[in-house]
Amino acid sequence: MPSRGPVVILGREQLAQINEHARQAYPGECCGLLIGVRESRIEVRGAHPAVDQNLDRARDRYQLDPREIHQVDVASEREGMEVIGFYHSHPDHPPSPSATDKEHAWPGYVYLISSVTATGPGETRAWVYYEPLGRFIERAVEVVPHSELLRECGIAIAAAPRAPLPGADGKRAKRSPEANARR
Amino acid sequence: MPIKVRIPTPLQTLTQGEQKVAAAGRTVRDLLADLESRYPGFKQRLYDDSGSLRRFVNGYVNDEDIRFLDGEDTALKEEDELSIIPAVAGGGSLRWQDAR
Repeated sequence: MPSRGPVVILGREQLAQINEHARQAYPGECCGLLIGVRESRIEVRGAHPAVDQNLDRARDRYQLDPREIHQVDVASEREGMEVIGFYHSHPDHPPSPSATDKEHAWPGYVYLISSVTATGPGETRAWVYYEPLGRFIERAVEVVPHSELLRECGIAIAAAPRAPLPGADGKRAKRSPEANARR
Repeated sequence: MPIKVRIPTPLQTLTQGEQKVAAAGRTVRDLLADLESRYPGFKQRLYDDSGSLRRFVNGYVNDEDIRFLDGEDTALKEEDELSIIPAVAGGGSLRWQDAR
């Protein structure tokens, strides 16, 4: 059950984009960045699909390229936003943090986890890592039309920012030079 | 020489919520030391017990990974910007167990 605390407001289009990414990556995991603002509430205004750098264990692990995080963060700042968290899928498993998620968790970020099976996307839940207790706490998710999010923050654009899904062109995702160097 | 430092969300508790702060230093090492003096707590977050940058902490000077420059000895000049980027990973569905 979600705990009391800031609600995560998620654009309907962003949720659809995350679900589509999870469906395409199945049976592997998908991952990406969440872009938005953290004020009295947490607003996810954009989802940036990323290439899983952990190609050796893409079935059950994900790793983001730090350069991609850096570049998305710089671009988000120009729009008055920042990287506020990350999403990933749990193929054939519940949308709750795993031991690996906990091992790599950072406080302050929102972690959206989507369940996905062979029949399609399932539930998406939001988590934050509460460092003093060393555990994740669930946050309630409110899904709203993206246009409503933009209207509330005074941004007058019609469509949600959307990046193409990695591998959507049929090519296999490549590991970045930095990721290779870290191996 | 003031250099802008981009602070990732997990470390913004140390900067009272500021996403970008100024610090001084001729190298990345100096800059991070100055950051610690202005906002105590960075050293513990960024360095391990042996005094090395933690492996899950990445640094970019402008768009260049400091690992491909001179690491912490990377020289800085005015107008440079240092970004601190945490390593992000997870997953584990094959042996999933609820670990919240």
